[in-house]
Amino acid sequence: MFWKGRGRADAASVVVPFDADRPAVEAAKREPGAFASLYRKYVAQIYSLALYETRDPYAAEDITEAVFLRALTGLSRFREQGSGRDSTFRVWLFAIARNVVSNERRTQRRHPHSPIDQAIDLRAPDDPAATIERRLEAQRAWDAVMALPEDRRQAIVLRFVDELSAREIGQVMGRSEGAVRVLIHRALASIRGSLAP
Amino acid sequence: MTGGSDIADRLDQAIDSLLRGQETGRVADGGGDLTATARTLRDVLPRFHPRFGFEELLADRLAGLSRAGSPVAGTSLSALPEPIPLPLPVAASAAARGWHRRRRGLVAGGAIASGVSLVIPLAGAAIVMWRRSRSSGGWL
Repeated sequence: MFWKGRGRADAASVVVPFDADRPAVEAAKREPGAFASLYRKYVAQIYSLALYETRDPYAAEDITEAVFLRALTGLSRFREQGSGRDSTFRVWLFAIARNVVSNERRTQRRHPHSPIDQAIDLRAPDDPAATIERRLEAQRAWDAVMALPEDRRQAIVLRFVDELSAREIGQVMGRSEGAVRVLIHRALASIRGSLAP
Repeated sequence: MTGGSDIADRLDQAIDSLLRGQETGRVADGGGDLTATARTLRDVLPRFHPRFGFEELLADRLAGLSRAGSPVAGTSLSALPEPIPLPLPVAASAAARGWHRRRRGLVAGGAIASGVSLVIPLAGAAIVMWRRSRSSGGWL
């Protein structure tokens, strides 16, 4: 579905793909309090990306805070373009997150915790044998994902955790959709090797 | 189109199906099946949720920023107001939160709160259900 939307200042109008967040974004531009719905919708996704990237819940909170503060203060300048990093609000928000993560990584001095490992150590009171095998598989998969090179790991997290499309990931990462598909293919091939018994 | 990119394209379609909670045909390359690996990642990679206290504190801070009218172009982050103690804002609706047709792993504040494949501590699940049951609304 395509709508006509406002484009760059030098263009009378451009046709952009329908962005499900457009009504909320327009509402937040008129009434900043309406940004709440966008925050609630995306806070876990942004926090997850930050946590997978830093493995430090405190750093992930710092990143999440910075992302939403930047998004709120920059929302008036956001113009949905239909392509690139301003294609949709969601892509724009994840592009901000990726930049903040990158900056955080450069300045991070904390020793990262391992919340994912902590999570996997939790178990139900009656942990059956079948669950143990499942947990071992999960542990191998998580270890394999964390061992991936940065761009492949980000693509996997954005695809499987945040459930962005390859096109959206390409716009966030500044790559073509095809390049992202190949990136994910290679990442999965690498993980497959780690999961092999 | 090269064989590699053809596999990557078919794999991407398979991942789309898996993320919708649908099963899909086998996609393989020279190293073997890739769909099973994608299915495993779908099942074991949880989405994390921040601590509720953090989420509400940030919501308050954003609300204060909104009331200050900062989205006007040119506002700098250095001028952000301090968090203002306010009643807890109600949670957005399940739809607005992006709950999916397929239940997925969700780890809240370092404890698994809901999931499909691993473990489901009842206390965490209860918190999530409480949050989901709260009505939708704005900041307050």
